[in-house]
Amino acid sequence: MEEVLKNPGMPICSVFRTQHKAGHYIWLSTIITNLLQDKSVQAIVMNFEDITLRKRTEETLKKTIREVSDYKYALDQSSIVAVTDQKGIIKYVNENFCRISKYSKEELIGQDHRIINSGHHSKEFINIIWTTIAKGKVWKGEIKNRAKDGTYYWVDTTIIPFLDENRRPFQYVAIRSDITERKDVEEKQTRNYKEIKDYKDALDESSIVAITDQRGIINYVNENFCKISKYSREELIGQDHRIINSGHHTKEFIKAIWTTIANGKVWKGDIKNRAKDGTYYWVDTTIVPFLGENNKPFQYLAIRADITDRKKTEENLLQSLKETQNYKTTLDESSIVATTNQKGIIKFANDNFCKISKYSKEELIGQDHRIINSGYHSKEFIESIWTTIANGKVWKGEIKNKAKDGTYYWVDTTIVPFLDENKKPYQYLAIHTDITGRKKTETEILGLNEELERKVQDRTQQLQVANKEMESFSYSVAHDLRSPVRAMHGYATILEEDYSTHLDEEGRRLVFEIEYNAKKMGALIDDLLTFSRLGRKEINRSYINMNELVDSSLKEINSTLKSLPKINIHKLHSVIADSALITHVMTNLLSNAIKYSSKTPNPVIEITSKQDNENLVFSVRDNGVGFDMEYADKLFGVFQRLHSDEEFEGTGVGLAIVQSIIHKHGGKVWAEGKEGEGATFNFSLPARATDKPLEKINHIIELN
Amino acid sequence: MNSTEMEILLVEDKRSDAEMTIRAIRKNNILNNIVHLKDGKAALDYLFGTGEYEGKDLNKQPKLVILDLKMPKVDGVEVLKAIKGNELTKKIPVVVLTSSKENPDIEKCYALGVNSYIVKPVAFDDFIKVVSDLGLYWMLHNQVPL
Repeated sequence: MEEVLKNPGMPICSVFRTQHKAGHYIWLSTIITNLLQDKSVQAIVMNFEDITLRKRTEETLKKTIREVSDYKYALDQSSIVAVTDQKGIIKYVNENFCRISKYSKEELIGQDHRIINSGHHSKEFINIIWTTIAKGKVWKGEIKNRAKDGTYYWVDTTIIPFLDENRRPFQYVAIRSDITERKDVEEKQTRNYKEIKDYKDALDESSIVAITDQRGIINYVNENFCKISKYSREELIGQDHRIINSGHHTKEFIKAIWTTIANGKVWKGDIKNRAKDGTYYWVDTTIVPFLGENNKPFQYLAIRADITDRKKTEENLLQSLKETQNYKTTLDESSIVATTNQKGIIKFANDNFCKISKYSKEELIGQDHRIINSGYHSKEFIESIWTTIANGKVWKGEIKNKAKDGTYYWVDTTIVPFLDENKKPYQYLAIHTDITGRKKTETEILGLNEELERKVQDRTQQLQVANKEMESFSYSVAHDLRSPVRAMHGYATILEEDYSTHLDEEGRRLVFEIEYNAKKMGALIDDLLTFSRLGRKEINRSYINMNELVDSSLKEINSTLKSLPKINIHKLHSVIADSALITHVMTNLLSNAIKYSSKTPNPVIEITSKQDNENLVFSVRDNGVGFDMEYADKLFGVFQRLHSDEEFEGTGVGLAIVQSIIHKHGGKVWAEGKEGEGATFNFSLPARATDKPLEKINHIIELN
Repeated sequence: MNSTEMEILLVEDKRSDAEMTIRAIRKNNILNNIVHLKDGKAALDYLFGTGEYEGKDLNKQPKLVILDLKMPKVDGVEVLKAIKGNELTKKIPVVVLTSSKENPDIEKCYALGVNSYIVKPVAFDDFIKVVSDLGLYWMLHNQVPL
């Protein structure tokens, strides 16, 4: 009012609040003009206008602006704010933006957001943002950006398009909040989760997994559990583990498991279970109790691995171990056992070793085997043992040892080297068997053999002497006996030739008888000599073509005969024998066959051969007079005859010679026949005659 | 060569064998002079002019010697050895007579250079045959280069 009064003529505007007569306050706007000087007026003019409404609107606006300003401030303080035009060019950034992006305002303004693009998001993702906001819609999401220094940061972002009257965005306000930390935690969690899941998957994949509640009721089983137990999931869930109880474990064992896990401790062990089909399987089991807040288990996770094969192997191993133990025991019981180190120092000797060597264990251990060296074996022999075993090879042989009391004993020895990883022997196991008795027997046998050999030699010498005597005897017989016989024959012949005219018929007959008998005696002597000569003759083997041999025999016979009967010679086996002797045999048999079939109308002789096991059998068959099988055994005796001289001439020595020759060859001779129906004479010779065994046979025959 | 000059020396200790041999020779119509000596010693003396035959003309040697092997004192082998070992007599054909082919001396005789040997057969007719077959061959066909 003072102002009004001081400034006459000047309208003064003011606003004031006054109380309405209704009680509420109203705002009045006044224009007061001091017109006191104006003579025409001489008054103070006051114009009032109720501006309560306006005032109220103004205040509201003011308040709103303040509020908006506060918001903006708060936003600016709390958030990362940027404003871009409709093309995305940054027009404004706040402090936070600069701080997080590490760019200055100057660097940012005029750029678009590509300046902080991390490359993390796909093109599609960026496209969606633009599509959304270009349509005037708010976009919300999480964006990974890159700061100036290359570090990354995550921002929770809201982009608000500001629309013009045409409802087209003319600028965008992006409000961001830093969520890098949260993102890191999230990422870590995701990673952890994934890891855990991987573990779980791996566990599921590799192991037999089951989860039970605290009472043991199965809540979960994996595929592997079903596979091994052969139960379906439906059959298992809701059951307890007794469904696969094999009955193998004791009550105490089961109880111990429960005690452990009920106390919140992990149990580990091998369990034998029974599958649905009744087969058994072993599982290596770990049961982990999951504890609740009260530290009481609320469920159990059982992880198992199939160890049936391992268990089987273990069982087998145990079995073999037991067997090995048994072997060891048996060996210890039965044999003389010692082990030495690689230098031959005795480390162990069993009771049998002590018993036979008469040394105590204390005396033996720490010594080498020289303690029982008998001195019997040569240095080379001992060296060869060492060479063998040091090379990791088993040595077997017989060793003579000396006991403590000086007596000797023989052992059959096997030395087995035990090799280390480098295949070098680190110890030797020597297993001996007492063969002293056998050795003694052997020595005795050797002695006996020597004696026998000596006896044989003596006997042979005697035989040689006898042979010599026989030879000179034969010669004497031939010389001295033949001479008078020859004289008898000679004089009888002279008598016949010179004095036949002085003799009557009876006289001539008697002279003839003398001649005949002298001749006969000469033949007997000659045959006997042949028999003894062939008996002494050494066999001289060679390959014989029997067909050729028969041919030459027949030629020899033919020279003394006018004609030969029909003779069928089959293809004959060849043989290894004394050619001269077998020729004699064949000649003899053929002569006999010809002789004894000479009175048969159509004589036929058949010569055959066959293989009979290891022998070759040659047969000469005739259709002559034959013989009575009753006397078959007499055929081959010396001077044994089945026919009289009048019937068939002969000395009775021929077949004896045949038999002697065939026996000498290790063969047999036999005859079959029937009176008036012919005879078959057979002889066998070993098919594969090797010299040695036959020589042995000869030897025996000679001894006999 | 005059066949009457041919002389056969028969050395045989057994009378009967000698008689048979001589008869066999004669049977072949050989009428030569046959000197029969009864042992080896006599044969050596006769051939080399010693003992009983000292001073004998050694240029007159027999054309054939028939020699028995088994004789007393000096046996046939020794006689043969002496004949074949002496320049004077070694060209005289010698036929050895033996009682059997078992005689181990036969080998020795061949080694010493015997010209032939005859196993005395029991039968006289056979004997004649072998004598004519073998022994006389040396007499009739084999000219001795004297």
